[in-house]
Amino acid sequence: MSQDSSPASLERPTPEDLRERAALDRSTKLPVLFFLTSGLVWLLAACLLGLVASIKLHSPGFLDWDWLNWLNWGRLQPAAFNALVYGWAFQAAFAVGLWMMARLCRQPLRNPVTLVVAGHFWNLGVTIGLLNILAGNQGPGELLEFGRPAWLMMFAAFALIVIWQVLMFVTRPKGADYVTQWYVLAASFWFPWLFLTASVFTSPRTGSGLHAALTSSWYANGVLFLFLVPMAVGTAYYLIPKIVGRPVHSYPLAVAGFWSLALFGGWTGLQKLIGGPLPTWMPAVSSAAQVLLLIPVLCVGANHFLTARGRHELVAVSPTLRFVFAGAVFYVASHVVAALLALAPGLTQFTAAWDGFRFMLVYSYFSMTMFGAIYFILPRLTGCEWLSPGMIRIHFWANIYGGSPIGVFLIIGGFFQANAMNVWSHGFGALSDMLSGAYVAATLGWIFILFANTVFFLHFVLIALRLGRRSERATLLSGPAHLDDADVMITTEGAEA
Amino acid sequence: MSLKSLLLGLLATFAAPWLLLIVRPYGSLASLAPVAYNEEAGDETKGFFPPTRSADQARGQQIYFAQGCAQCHTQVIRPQYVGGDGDEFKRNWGEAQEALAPKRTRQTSPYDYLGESFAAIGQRRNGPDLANGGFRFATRQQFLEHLYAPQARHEWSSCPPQRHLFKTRVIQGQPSRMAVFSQGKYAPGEGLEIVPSTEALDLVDYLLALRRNAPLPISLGGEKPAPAAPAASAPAAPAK
Ligand code: HEC
Repeated sequence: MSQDSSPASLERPTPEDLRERAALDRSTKLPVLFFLTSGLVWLLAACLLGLVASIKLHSPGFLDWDWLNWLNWGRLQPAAFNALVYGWAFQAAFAVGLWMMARLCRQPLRNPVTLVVAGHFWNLGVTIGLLNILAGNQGPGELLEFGRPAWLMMFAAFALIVIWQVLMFVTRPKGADYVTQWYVLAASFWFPWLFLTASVFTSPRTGSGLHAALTSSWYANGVLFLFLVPMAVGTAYYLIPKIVGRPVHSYPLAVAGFWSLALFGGWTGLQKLIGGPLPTWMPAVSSAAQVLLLIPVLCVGANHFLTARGRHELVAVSPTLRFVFAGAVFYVASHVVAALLALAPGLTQFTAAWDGFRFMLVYSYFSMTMFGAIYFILPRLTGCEWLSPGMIRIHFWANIYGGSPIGVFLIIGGFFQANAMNVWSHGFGALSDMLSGAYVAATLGWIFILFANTVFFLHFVLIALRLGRRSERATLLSGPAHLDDADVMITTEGAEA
Repeated sequence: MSLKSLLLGLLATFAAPWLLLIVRPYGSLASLAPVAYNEEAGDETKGFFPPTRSADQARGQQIYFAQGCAQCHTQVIRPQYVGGDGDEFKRNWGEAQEALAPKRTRQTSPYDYLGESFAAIGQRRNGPDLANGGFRFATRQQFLEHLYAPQARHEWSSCPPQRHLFKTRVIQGQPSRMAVFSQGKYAPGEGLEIVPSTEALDLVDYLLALRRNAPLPISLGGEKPAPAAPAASAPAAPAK
């Protein structure tokens, strides 16, 4: 398809545009830096907790002292995953979403301080929730373990944070329209709905524990596929055209990808309860929807691939594009795995495969995409460039060598686990022997990503403190720098017509 | 795309699954109530299905969730088309099989979770399914010892010890009948004893009551119990 038939426009920024952008970035700087910094601290905490949890699976005696009873696996595992999701992933999504929305809607943020206040409440909520889990007081239900007091606070904070993005969109000038905005707005629409539904229907007063369990499994899937996924897809839609200097390949494909996610996403979640005490059609519908979620993946994946066609070598050059590209690989992989889990419950249900899949989606896909965005955004906020391509390379490769095996080994291990569990005479001792290989591999992976993110955090802090390189040229991974870092204008003007 | 068309589109696409998967089933699930066995219909059992839970058991379940047991233990017996559950739960999963008589078990029914504020279906099977966990140990004491030190029975066990639910104290007068590990590797030492807290006792009450062996009433699709001398006549009524 030629550029002409695509309605997306792409222009070099004029000096006026550049001035406008600088003003926009200045308005979002404070909250964006706040969310990124606190998000990264939670990421390190999650890696640490995840590492200990992983070790305990193959060496149960590890750190098993009386005074450390709050680190027992039943508490550690949800603590690590909730910290990863609500501490890191949500805050990264807030930061990147806010920044992109200001840029795309050409609206400065008028209340940066409100956002920082709301951000403190969010962090307070996450802290209370985690302490609640570690104190042996977790709530039932996947991703609902924080318990009610923490949720209330987090929900209020969430509302205060995303309302500004909606307002920016409402007040945007004519023509400032782009795909990314749909995804950010949709995620801000879906999450509160999911969350309120979960709060109401998992309340102990509803009178049906079975319904509470069903709602919670719908919610947990929704957090992944209707909040994290759209935020990361929107981010990729923003970054890829910027870096390769080309408009989004196809507008119809973008529309199809977006609406197919909207159409199927809400039906997923109950496939986890296959074989459980629900009418069989319910998990069956969810399984089908989970498989159909491959359609948006196909649309979005093809669109991104074609947008970057002929310029794929930039993956070797641009840190942002490299992380986004790695994320895209896991975007496809995690959706394929999710479809397999839905199709073969007897081979996966209740096993480590589910953990592997969740990790792949939240870390290898979502987080890698966010890292890419941070590499793009931070220099624009602070006015200085990343110090060291070496540190970026370490961050990338340690994440690839560390993050991928966690997902892959747990998924494969899960298949074996299910197989063994289906034979009633198979003892649990033999089972745990069999799985320990996968668990040891996962532990090594956690060590790698803990290292990767420590390096990244140091690098991040240096740039945030404006100790980076003062230069007009972006830090690239390989020279000669043939990447023209123009930060082009992207819109889908006229797309409505 | 304008905000209005975006919102309308999102509303239409999301309301459908929300109404059909979440809101609509609520009515029928919340109105489930215990069902009386009916002798005329062929039920051999008397009373109601499922058996009611005591307040201790309900507290025990709270502790079960709060301590994260449901992270590793499920309570659901799946039909054959999903896993091998149907068969394996007749026996003790992963144990020496011969010593134990097969238990009467069946696929889990929605009624099995009546009275729970959150159905303990569970998240993983790192440990054995506990739908019939009450049969696993013969005595309360064995449950308590498992809670205190799962590794005493299986060295490789990743079941986390719950020692914080116990107290080590000086024996005053008669040793407590509840005390665990008065001898062996885990014994607390001369003159001391390890006693369970009320939380541990509630939790064990709950675990002991995990016995889903009450037959499904025929009105709910339960099978007629086989007559003593199996007359291979009419097949069991099709489950509905
Ligand atoms: C790390 C995951 C994990 C957590 C959390 C966990 N368990 Fe276990 N549990 C296991 C494993 C593995 C076994 C099998 C090994 C054994 O018998 O000790 C087991 C076995 C058991 C058994 C014996 C079942 C049988 O068939 O022999 C009981 C009872 C039990 N756990 C209760 C609990 C309770 C109560 C809790 C919460 C306080 C809990 N478990 C938390 C992993 C876990």
